[in-house]
Amino acid sequence: MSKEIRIRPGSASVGQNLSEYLAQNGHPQHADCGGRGTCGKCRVRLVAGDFYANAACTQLAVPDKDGYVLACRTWCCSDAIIALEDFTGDGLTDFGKQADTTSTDTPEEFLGIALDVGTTTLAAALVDTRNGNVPATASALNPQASFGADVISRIEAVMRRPETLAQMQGLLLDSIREMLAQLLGGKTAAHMTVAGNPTMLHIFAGISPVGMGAYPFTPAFTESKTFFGEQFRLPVQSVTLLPSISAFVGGDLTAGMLHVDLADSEQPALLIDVGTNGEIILFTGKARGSALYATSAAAGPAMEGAGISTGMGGVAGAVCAFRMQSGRPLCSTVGDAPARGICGSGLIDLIAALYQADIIDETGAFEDGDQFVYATTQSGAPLALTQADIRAFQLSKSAIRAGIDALCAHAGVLPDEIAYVYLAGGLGYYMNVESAVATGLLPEAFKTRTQSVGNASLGGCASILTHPEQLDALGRNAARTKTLELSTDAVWSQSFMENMMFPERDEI
Amino acid sequence: MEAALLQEISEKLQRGKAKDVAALVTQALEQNISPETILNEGLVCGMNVIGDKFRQNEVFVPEVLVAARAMNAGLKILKPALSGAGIEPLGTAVICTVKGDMHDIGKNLVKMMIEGQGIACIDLGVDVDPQVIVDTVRDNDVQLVCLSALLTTTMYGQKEVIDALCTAGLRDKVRVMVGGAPITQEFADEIGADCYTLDAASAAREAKRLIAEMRA
Ligand code: B12
Repeated sequence: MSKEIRIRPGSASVGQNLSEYLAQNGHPQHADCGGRGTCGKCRVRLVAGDFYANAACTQLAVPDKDGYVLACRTWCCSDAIIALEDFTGDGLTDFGKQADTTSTDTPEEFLGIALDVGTTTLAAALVDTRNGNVPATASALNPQASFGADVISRIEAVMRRPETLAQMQGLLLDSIREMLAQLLGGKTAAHMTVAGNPTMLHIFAGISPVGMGAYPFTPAFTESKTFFGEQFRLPVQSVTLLPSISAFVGGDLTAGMLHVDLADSEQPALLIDVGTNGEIILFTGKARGSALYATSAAAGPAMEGAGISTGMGGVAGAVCAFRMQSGRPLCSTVGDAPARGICGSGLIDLIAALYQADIIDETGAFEDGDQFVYATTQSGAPLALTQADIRAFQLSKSAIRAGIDALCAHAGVLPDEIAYVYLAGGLGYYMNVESAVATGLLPEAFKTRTQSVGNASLGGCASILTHPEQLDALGRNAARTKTLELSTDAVWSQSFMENMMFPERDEI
Repeated sequence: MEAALLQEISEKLQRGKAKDVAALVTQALEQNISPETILNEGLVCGMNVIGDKFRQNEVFVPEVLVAARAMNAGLKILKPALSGAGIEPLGTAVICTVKGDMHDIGKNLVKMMIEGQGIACIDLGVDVDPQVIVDTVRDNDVQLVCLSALLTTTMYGQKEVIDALCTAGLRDKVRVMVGGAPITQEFADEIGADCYTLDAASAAREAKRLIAEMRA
């Protein structure tokens, strides 16, 4: 769970920021706050040696009482050893297709690669383009994590230092090459389809994302683009980026639309990625005008565990499910390992359970005290959910819920009338829908018609490899989707305020 | 009697009971309690309690908003009496969200809390060009500029405003206070702001101090 790393700055990198050093040397650390020293997620333990506490190298770093420093606030000094802990999860590669190991000898001309470039994780699938079989999948962390956890931080990195674009693109392509080596074993694939949010697609293509950094948030491109693989030094003949809808609703969502056949539904259907950017697409149904609406309700990363005091990704030791049994907390952890923190699905369960048990009231305030110990670590240290954690969660869940409400209002569809609700992405895959409804994140009506579709972005990419003709229709659908701007939307504001509270409790 | 009534105004305000607050303020005026006392010991007192609870996470955004609405209901009734008694606002602040940024919930909370201290606010809204702020400062009797930014990409817009004030020769006319989720004290120092606070209640307190400083 923790590994020791030797730091050898050499004369060239004395005075280099430790986060940057680690990123360049293959150990990118999380920086939810973009390296401003506020989120505490890049804590590393000093084992031996010295570091500086400022870029001017005039002051030595003093670790806290447990021996930790923040990598983003620490600068290289001399040879040293630090210990890194793994707090991030793997990419989700499941999209409802079983890996089929029988087709191992697919000729190169029928080899396809589907790739989902997430802000946090990368996922890829090898696809036999004749029949859609998936012989293998791979995943990796997005190596850009040290440039910030969210897309805006990555864009800001490019705004401040334009050369960061090439740096982030390089890191990304390196990781992709590694995954392709694993999947292709030295062969060359005929075609690769790539989906991701618009910022990730811009960075992949080496096109500046800075237009999307501030209002009016203008992407350099939204249409589908095709390149030669050699342009990126990738072992594929050609690369196609899926079309995006707007600056914040990207190819990952359009791919998802394809994966669940959203625009083929007779009845209203909704696709939602419950994550940092809270992207939502609503199709009104063939029976009701076939209109498409999309929005992005910037929820922030709280529901994924970032910005929560004991939050972490879905790795070993993360509490991923929680309930109260006879008044006592009962946790499940990833890999059944001793608890170290809590990830998104656990957080939603925990808050739902605390509310159901009257430990927090409908405004989100603790009835007594100001925290709840939900587990203890192996060494007996308490893991607590604080009042501030609940507040962060309330903002996030309400932003998404209000996004759903606003989209419905604009499309003239009631939440009750939506026949299919598809949850895309990692959190949607692992979270308990009943808990989500109990916190008010999803409307009550969704309880019985929601399905998790896993990495729908990867699924859509795979689908296009076997049915390339779908790409045109997808481009047309993306182009005709109406984007709803929430910052001036009255329905959104009203719903956002209302849904910060918790809905009426279930009778149990 | 008087103390009990003022206490009740404060409590109703904290619970967001706009109608009750308005009725109680009317009642207090009828009982010849001075408008200034009603303002400070009723309305401002209630708003301060809510602000502090918000800072400590005991209450959340919606509660602050309903409390502020109740305060405005009370203020509306009190205003004529206040000006009749010759009571002026402590000073005037300009507040807005910087260029490129449309987030305004935090800014609105800060504005309400500042108004709750008896300071007049000129709200320029969101996505505001530095020049508009410069013009407002030049053309009005303002002592304080409050800038909000919620995006790591727009926080440097706060520096642009400060720079524009300097260029226009107006930097010494006002104090500049900055805030918003991505802002830190370090950043505020770096861009030459006079003050940074983490939350709205502290912002209101600092606003009062800064305005007093400017008027001294
Ligand atoms: C609500 C919200 C929105 C709403 C905004 C509605 C509105 N009218 O304001 C909507 C949905 C429209 C929105 C849109 C976007 N958002 Co937004 N949004 C949020 C959210 C969920 C909450 C922000 C909020 O209102 N907090 C509550 C208030 C009370 O807190 P506050 O603003 O921090 O203010 C307090 C203090 O900071 C301080 N303060 C504030 N201003 C000032 C000023 C002074 C002078 C002082 C002293 C103090 C002070 O006092 C306040 C009260 O105590 C956050 C995520 C989160 N969970 O925090 C993202 C977040 C801020 N948004 C984000 C983004 C990226 C966006 C978008 C650009 C992209 C998108 N995916 O849609 C768009 C574009 C918006 C635009 N056009 O500018 C990101 C920013 C990331 C970054 N690294 O900068 C966040 C963090 C989410 C995320 N990680 O993705 N968003």
